[in-house]
Order: sequence, then structure tokens, then C-alpha cells
Amino acid sequence: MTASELEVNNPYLPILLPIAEIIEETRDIKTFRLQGDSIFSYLPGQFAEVFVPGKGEAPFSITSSPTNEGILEFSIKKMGVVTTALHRLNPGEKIGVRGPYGNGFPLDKLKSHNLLFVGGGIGLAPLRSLINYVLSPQKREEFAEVFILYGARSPQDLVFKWELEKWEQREDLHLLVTVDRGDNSWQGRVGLVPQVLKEEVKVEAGEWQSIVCGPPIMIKFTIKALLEMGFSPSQIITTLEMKMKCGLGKCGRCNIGPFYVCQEGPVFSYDVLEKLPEEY
Amino acid sequence: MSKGLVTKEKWWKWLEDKKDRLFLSERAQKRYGSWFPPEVKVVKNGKEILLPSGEEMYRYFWAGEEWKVEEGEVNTAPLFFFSLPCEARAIIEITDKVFLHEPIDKNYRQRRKSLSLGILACLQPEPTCFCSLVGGGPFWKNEEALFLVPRKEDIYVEGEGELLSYSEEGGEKVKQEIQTLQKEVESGLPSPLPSYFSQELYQHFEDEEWDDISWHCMNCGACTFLCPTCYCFDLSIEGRLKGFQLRSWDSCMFPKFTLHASFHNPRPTGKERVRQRVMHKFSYFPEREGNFACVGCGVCVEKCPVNWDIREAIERMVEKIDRLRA
Ligand SMILES: Cc1cc2nc3c(=O)[nH]c(=O)nc-3n(C[C@H](O)[C@H](O)[C@H](O)COP(=O)(O)OP(=O)(O)OC[C@H]3O[C@@H](n4cnc5c(N)ncnc54)[C@H](O)[C@@H]3O)c2cc1C
Ligand code: SF4
Ligand code: SF4
Ligand code: FES
Repeated sequence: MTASELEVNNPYLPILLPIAEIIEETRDIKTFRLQGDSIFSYLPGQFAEVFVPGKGEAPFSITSSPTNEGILEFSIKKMGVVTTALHRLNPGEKIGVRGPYGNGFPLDKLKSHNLLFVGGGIGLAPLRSLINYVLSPQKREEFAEVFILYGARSPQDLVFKWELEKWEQREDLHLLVTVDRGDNSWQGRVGLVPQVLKEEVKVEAGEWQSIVCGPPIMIKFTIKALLEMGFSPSQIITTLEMKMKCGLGKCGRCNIGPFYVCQEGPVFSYDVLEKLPEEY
Repeated sequence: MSKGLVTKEKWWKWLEDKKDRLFLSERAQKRYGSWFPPEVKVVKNGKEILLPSGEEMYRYFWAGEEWKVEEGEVNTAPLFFFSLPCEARAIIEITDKVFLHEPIDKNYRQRRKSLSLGILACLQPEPTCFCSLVGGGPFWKNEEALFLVPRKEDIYVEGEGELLSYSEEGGEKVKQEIQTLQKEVESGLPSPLPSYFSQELYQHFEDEEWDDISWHCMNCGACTFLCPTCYCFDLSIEGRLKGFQLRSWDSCMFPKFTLHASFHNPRPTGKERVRQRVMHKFSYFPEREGNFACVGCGVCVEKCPVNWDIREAIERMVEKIDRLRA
């Protein structure tokens, strides 16, 4: 066997990492901070397969930024078997991670542009990786203005409240937070994301790139609003979710037309996406 | 590459030390079973050897204080697989391209490296066969595999390796005989699909024809399990304090295949799923890898409980495309 043959790793084998901290974001969303590993280097917008021993495996966006070295974070909504098992874990316990997978956000295309982030619900998770990348002291000057519009169903459903507060304080970005329905204590904005976008985000589309993630219906109407605001399809970037198993372009289930979302996605520019069959 | 004739005695001599490492496809056995010893393991197709359903991808266990994971073991003893040309093509031109391309699937690669292929010429195409439509043929060969034409008293062999050292020069006469035989077998088989087919098919994704094409398929998945090129799989975790990640065959015909945790399903009905099966084989895969992901073996046609016929789907789309091009 030659040296190069020895180097082929089993791509399905996870590395086990301890949970350093768990943050309760909402009633059904928790953020898991893992102690990172130097062999796991990633880009904003990539995802990983997370393995809970004895339970199962599922794909999640990496929500931390690679500029924040030594940590790896996932924000996870309780849905079924694996996510429920994850929600039962405690700091100190180990879970498996394999990846990173997918293309990540097109950093070269975004460089030196103004960036408009539009997130809905837990859809902020993948955006957060890029936001903190852009806002990091090492990278901030490579990008121009930053505008973040974030919405959730109710004030209780807003994720990363602790970080939204930090962003709020910064001089070098605009932040708008909105909820579909307020409650007695909510003093902020009430309104659906696409609507708030059209009414309150006054930007000259020409100099901007927009990055959108959220529930499918929100993505659909946000893209429509952006197009109405003068954004061209190539100025709209979104990240998709499909049922995934392998993350390696092999198990055959995550394709849209000839593209495997786990490999050539999950990040797509809308000019590519609009030409694909609507099978997602 | 060399060519020659191997006598029956020498063939059996060559097989002598390989008896417990021999695999033969079920379809090749029907035609050439008498050329192989009773010990030969008969498999449906190459998938059973290279991608065994229920394969361990890794193990995990609770080691008292913490979890541990370790790789499973793959048998790397040299094996021989004899099959019909279409079945060998399914390995060389389809599954190899998927599992040996980056990111390399280590288990598949280990198995594949220890597997030698022997292609037995197909002398009696069945009514369901259409290999020539999709770029293959009853005498399809490949430089990495032995090519064999069993005759009455000897076997005509092309290739390299130990078996060729048992062979004798056949001369011009044998060459002529083989060529004549090939011509005979190939006559009457369909001609290849037009080169524009895979691209044009993609343009017809929204075509209403798909409603009709998919209509009586029950989505049982039998075709995909028996197909030598269908490689889609599921990964699952089996076991609590100790267990493994299992890889098992899956099928694009099943609704759960693409069902999101949110219950959204991008391929909710039989129409989308049948279209996916045809599109993947005849458009997406060719666009990515340069050849169809169907070798025309006809097994799916033969085994479908309701006689759903992939040839008919292709014919209808060809007709439609050609009508629009004219
Ligand atoms: C690229 C990518 C990034 C992602 N990022 C994130 C992220 O950052 N955060 C996040 O929270 N999620 C994310 N997801 C989604 C996440 O992967 C799923 O929520 C997760 O796989 C659910 O796994 P589970 O085992 O908990 O649910 P499952 O047990 O698989 O099922 C979920 C629900 O579906 C039901 N169900 C399962 N099978 C069936 C069936 N056959 N019929 C009917 N009902 C059924 C279950 O009862 C349950 O209610 C991402 C997905 C992708 C593809
Ligand atoms: S084509 Fe036939 S075998 Fe295949 S899923 Fe449909 S009914 Fe089953
Ligand atoms: S004919 Fe049917 S079984 Fe054979 S390769 Fe094509 S799709 Fe698969
Ligand atoms: S998740 Fe297996 S092919 Fe994409």
C-alpha cells in the first residue's frame, strides 16, 4: 500500500467531541457549543452530520464562525428522534460530528459588498456563522455595510437573543427584529419578514448582496420582495434544506435536478435556483 | 492485452484454487452455470458484493466512562466476479464512478480493489434486454476485466493475468468465428439513443407525459432493489450501548426517501418518484458522469409485478423530443 492509499479515511466515521455548553434559546431550540477540533475546519454555510450514540444521526448547519477558533456550535430544534435525544444531553457528554459538508457561502462573491441578511426562525443559524465571520475583527474590513433583518413567529421564538443584544450595540451594522405576533411585554416591531423588508429596508439594491434563510414559505416571499426591490437573481443567496443521509453525494436523496444539495449546495444563488426544477 | 483459447481442462485447473472466492451472477449462472464449480456463490448482481445491504460503516460502544467509535472491518481477500457484460458495466461505469470519486467511499474501495471481474459474453439476449440502446452490447468489454466467450470445448479469452498463460493461440479462424458470432448476436438489437437525449430529457421535466408514464407503477421499489445500477442507500444507527451505523439499500420509489422532518416532501407522489428514477438514470447521471445509469439489463422490466416498462417511458420521451425537434 502506498502512502496516499493509507490516507483514505472512512468518511462515515464521526469524531467524538464533548459538549462544552448548552444554551436554551427557546422552548424547543437549544444551542450546543462543542469544544472544536483542529481537524474539523469549516467555512460559513457548511453543515455537519451530528451523531448521538445509540440514537441516530442528522444534518445541522454549523452556526459558529470559523473565526471563533476552538469552538463548534449547532442550534437545534426539537423535531423527532435525534433532535429529542440531543435536547436530553448535558454538558460534558460527547457527541459525534462528521463533515464539514456542502459548499458554504460564496465568500469571494460577497467580499467588498454591502450585505443584507434576512433570517426567519431557526433559519438565522446558518446566517449567524457568516454574520459573525463578517463582523470578526480579522474580516470586518473586507466587507462593506451590514444589515440584518430577523423575524420569528413570536418573541419566545427568537433565537440568539443574547447575541442580538450584542449586535444591537454595534455601530457598524443595522439590525431590525420583528415578530409575526407580539405579546404583552413585546415593545418591538410586529410584522412578517417580507413585509418589513419592503417597508423598512431602504437600500439601493445595486450595491448589495442578500443572504436569505428561513422556513420555505418565508424564503419564497422574501425572494419575491427582494426582486420587487430591484435585487437581481444573482444578488440573492439562499441556503436550502433537503432530507439528507450521507452528506457525500452518494445516498441519492438530496438532489434537485442534477445537483446534490449536500455537495453543490446547500447554498445556492437564486439565478441558479430559479432554473432548477421546483422539486425542493 | 492478449487473446487465446483456454481448454476445458485448463479452465478447471485455473479455477482450482479459487473455488471459495468465486462469485457468479444469477443471470450468468443460467447460461454458464456448468462452467463453474458447485462452491460458486451466486448473487443477484455486483451490488451484493460491493455494497452489501446491512453493511457496518462503523461501530460505537460505551467504554465505561465515555463513548468510543471505531471502523468496521472489510474483507480484502481477493475475489472473482463473473457476470454478463451489462452487469459488469453497472460496476465499472456506474457504481465505481459514484463510490470511487471524491469523497471516496472507503469500504467500497477496499472491496473493489480486491475484486477481479470476468465478463461472459451474452449469446442469448432476452426479450427484455436493451443494452445496445444505452451504450453497451452483448460483447461489451473493458480493459480491466477478463472477457470470455465459452464455446463447446473451450473458452475464448481476452485480457491479462494468469488465465491467459493457460491459453493457446487461436489464430485467424477463431478470430473469424468470434466476429461472426458477435454480429449474429448483435443483429436485431436496438440502436443507441441519440446523443442529445439526456439534455433534451431534462428540458421535459415539467412535461405532462410524466403523469401518464408513472400512472400504473405501484412504487413498490422491487425494480430498484434488483437493478444492478441503483445504488441509493439509507444509513441508520442500530443498538444502544453498543452498536453500529448500518448502510442498507433504499429506494427513490418510497415516499419516506425524501420526507423532511417537517413532513414536507419534495417528491410527494408516484409521479415525482418515477420521474426521478428515469431522470437520474437518463439525464442527471449522464450529465455528471458521461454515461447513462441504466445498462439495459431488463431485469426491472422482467420482475415488475405490474409490467411497468422503462423502455416504454424512454420510447415515449424520445418520440416526444423528436416530434418537437422536427
Ligand atoms: C443542510 C441542513 C441543515 C440543517 N440545519 C439545521 C439547523 O441548523 N437546526 C435544526 O434544528 N435543523 C436543521 N436541519 C434539519 C434537521 O436535519 C432535521 O430537523 C433533523 O434531521 C430531524 O431529525 P430527527 O431525528 O429529530 O427527526 P425524525 O425522527 O427524523 O423526524 C422528525 C419528525 O418527523 C416525523 N416522522 C419521521 N418519519 C416519519 C414518517 N415516515 N412518516 C411520518 N412522520 C415521520 C417524526 O415523528 C418527527 O415528528 C438541517 C437540515 C439540513 C439538510
Ligand atoms: S416500476 Fe414496477 S417494480 Fe418498479 S416500483 Fe413500479 S411497480 Fe414496483
Ligand atoms: S434495465 Fe432496469 S434493472 Fe437494468 S439497469 Fe436499467 S433500470 Fe436497472
Ligand atoms: S445526502 Fe446523500 S446524496 Fe446528499
